[in-house]
Amino acid sequence: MMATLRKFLPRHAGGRRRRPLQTVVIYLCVLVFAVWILLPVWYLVVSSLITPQQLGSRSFSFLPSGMTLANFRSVLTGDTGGAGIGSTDIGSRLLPAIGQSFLVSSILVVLNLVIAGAAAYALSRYPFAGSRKFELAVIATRVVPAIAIIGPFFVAFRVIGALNTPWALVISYNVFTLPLAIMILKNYFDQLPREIEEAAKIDGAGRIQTFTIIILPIAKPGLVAAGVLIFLEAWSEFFYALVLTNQLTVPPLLAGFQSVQQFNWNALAAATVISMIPPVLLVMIFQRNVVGSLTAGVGK
Amino acid sequence: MTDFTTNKTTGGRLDRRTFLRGTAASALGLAAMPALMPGAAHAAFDGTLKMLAWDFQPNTIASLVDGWSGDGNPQVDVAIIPNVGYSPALQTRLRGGDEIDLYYNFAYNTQKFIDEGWAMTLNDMPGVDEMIDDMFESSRPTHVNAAGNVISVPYFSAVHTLHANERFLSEAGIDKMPSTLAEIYDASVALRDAGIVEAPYVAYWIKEFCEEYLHVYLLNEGIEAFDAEGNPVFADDPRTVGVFEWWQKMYREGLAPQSVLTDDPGKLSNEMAQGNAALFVLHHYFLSSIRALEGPESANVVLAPLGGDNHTFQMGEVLQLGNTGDEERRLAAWELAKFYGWKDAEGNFTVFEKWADAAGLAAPYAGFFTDEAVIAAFPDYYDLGQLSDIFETGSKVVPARTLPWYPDFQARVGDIVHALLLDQATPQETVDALAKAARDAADGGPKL
Amino acid sequence: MTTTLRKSSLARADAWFGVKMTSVAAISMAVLLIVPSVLTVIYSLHDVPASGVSFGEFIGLENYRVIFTSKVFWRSVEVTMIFTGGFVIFSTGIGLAMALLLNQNFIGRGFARGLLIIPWATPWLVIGILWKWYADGSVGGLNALLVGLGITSEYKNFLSDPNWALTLTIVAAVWRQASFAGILLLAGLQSLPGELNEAAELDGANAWQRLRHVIIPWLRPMLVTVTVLNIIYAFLQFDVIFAMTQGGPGDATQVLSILIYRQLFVVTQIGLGSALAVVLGAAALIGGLATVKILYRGASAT
Repeated sequence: MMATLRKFLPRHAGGRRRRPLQTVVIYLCVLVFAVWILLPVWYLVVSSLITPQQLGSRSFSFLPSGMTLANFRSVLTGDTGGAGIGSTDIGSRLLPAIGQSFLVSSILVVLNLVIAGAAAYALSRYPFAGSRKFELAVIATRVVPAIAIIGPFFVAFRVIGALNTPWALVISYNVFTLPLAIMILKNYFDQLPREIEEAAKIDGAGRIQTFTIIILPIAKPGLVAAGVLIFLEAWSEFFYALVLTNQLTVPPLLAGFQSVQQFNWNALAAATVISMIPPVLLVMIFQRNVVGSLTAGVGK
Repeated sequence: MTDFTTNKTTGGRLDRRTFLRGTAASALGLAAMPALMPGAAHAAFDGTLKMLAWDFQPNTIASLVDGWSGDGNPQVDVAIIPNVGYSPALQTRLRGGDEIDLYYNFAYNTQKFIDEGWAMTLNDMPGVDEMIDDMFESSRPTHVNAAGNVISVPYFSAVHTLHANERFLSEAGIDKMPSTLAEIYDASVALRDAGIVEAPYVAYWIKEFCEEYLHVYLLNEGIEAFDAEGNPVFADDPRTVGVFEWWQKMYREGLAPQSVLTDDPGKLSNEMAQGNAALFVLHHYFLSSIRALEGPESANVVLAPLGGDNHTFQMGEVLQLGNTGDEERRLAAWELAKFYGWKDAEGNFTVFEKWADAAGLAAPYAGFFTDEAVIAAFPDYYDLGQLSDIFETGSKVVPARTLPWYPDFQARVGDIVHALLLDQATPQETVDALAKAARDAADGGPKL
Repeated sequence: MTTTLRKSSLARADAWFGVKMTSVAAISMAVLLIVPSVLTVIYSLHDVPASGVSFGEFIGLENYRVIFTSKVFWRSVEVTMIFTGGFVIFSTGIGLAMALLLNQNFIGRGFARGLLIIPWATPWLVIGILWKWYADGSVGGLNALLVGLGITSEYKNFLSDPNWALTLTIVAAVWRQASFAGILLLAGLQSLPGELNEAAELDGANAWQRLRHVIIPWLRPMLVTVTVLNIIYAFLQFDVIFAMTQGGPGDATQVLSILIYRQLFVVTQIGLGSALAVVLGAAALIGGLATVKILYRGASAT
């Protein structure tokens, strides 16, 4: 699949010559695109580098005259340098929260890829009576409003003693991620050529062998793409993390910056910037896989 | 000492009138206190207590609690979750059977929590009478309900005050601090017309907070919101419509900036510090926030004294004890509550002193304002005598806020007041809608 | 499908293998989703006490009656529909536009594709907080930009203006979701056989005609998936609105999920809140299925 894809890429990406007007229009569009994406991000970054006083004087300057790392220092070490009301006390918690988010999201990715991968492969290659209905049911479950079913989860986790462990989130996040993962992987497997499997079967390979030795290696890009998707869904979740565990993940920690007793957007901006680094890095690393494989993944 | 939760026994029952009687009782209580102070009763429980707090200075919370444990008290496992979403998380956990020994709570939730069996009454706890006696008379109805049951311990208290930019006011030719709503309106118009600030008045009018302002403004005009039974008697007071006319006018005429419906207090403080606003009504401790921002106008902002016989709204968030464990565990949790919400074993306001130092938060105890360590902890731009007076005689709590249906009403005030401000309802309709919301809430039953 | 019905033992063994491979996922989903969902439906038929000790009194469809006769609910439905409409149209439309653009050849394309990922990698709640400040009426960057470009003449308090607040929550949510849609659609475009496009070009088709008759039909399956996902995300959206306006000012942004949150967690009327959740879930399901039907019917018509 990836090979076929690459075969096409250079041709329609490069070859032909464009009229000058077309080129101008394209670059104008690129400019609009960059402004749309970058300005909020730039606003965030600038906010994290200026003082509340600078922020308070209008109008907001996208190129501030003076910058400071004080906000970053305060969120990383808890040291506010005497300025600002109280301490933001975030220093000891931001990095652990990022770690907690990373841990939960990573375990979930592995777990989901195994469970959803097996199911998706079976649905694609070994359909059984009712498998089509099962697929529809999978999609249908994605519409359950997650906030409505948190109560039963809490009780269940209390009974099995999973509260305040990463498992509470790992298990409950399946509500959002498992249907999505099955949906995407099933479609991905559908697009993988069947010939190799047939050949393997003729050579006497069992079903499990075929899956683990033949399919998994070719399906790697699709698995990576689904993994990134799962990771970001988990990384983004707020309410379950708030209710089911005391070890804060990133979203509730950032939400904690806003209280009636204290509020400092600049420090929050700095914490937000830091917290965005891991997922952005992750997606950048796997970008080729993500963009490439979701092609097949959702295109059916 | 047999039943902490229901207090059916008259022996444990506290007569609210005793608490409301005033200073004579306090003096007695103070005299009796040393013998009853914590220190002896804590040895029995040797497990770990669970505490839940919202996200304000978590390191401080941890160090205070660790200090308590270090004095020979049980270990405490403190969990801290964000203020945003605190109440939903707490309720879901308690509903789900989580055992939390001591937790922060919003005062308007307290009676509901008692009724649902998530919190216990404290009538029989050792030293509880002394703690209540030690409180300002004005503060007691927050912690003692109409039936005379003690339902919570203070976490911190504050009074709504007008933060005013003195320099701006005198520039606009106003020599008397505005205090009535009419005076605030006139001052705002004068400030605007003099070209000093475009939108002089700011307040934290987001949906969730409109309920506090309802009480601030009603009390400001001397209107009783609810009677002893919780009936919305404000609706019968002819002056009430005037309050809402004022409220709508302030917003409609742009004397309060359009953005106040969603602005955060951090931003409002900064508007004062930068000189983009001149009058700001919110908890007194926002003065710390404004001063700490060190904007060009920060130093000119002061807390306005109350004028005449006006009252302001005294609020306070609280600690409640969960319905957990056996008597020993409860006693241990109570010792922690006393330490955290009153005094330490030596009779010092250790915890409150920290909050005063950190953010100017106050405690509803007269002794707090005269305590030397506390005085030292408060930044010097606070006039503690003035603040103490406002607590003692200038402010009222709203006893109806400890009624079980109150959270339902609280959740609806924002929608109704915002409709008024956005010109979707007249002042009279607003009064009617609020009264109906209160009655509906009291009636119970599912309602949207 | 027909292969599964073949009566050979090999086929039966294949199907059995399929069942075994699917079973873990099936059991997980049954336990994690069906049990709580059934509980929610049961709750919705009871006057559930907040204390959580029992289901409470069975009251039949009373909760639903309260909901469907409530002005608050219908206003919330209206807001939810507007939010969903705006969110789905703009997420999909902007996503498609971005995908088409990033499929062109220009200097810095790799970097631009990297940019596309940033909104997607930002948690919903953070998007809400960020846009709340970005769109602020005095210290926000959006106003500075709009005034700077001469698009507006003065600072506007978007989030306090009931006519603008909903628009802004849509824009903020679209900011993330359009990137998600863009990534998926870009992927789809990359699989478009170059010959198809070139043939159309040789036939004298202009850019618009190629978009209509070549690119869109090619992308249709992907567009359906993206649209259905967008509809589901729109109906269930909570974090962004909660962080930006908490449903205000007034009821301007009070979508159903905010209403559910209030009923379940603020006033703890579990029965009514559960009934609302059932209504919302059903609406999302119907919306999703209807989209599939309509878009596929459109496909067979062309």
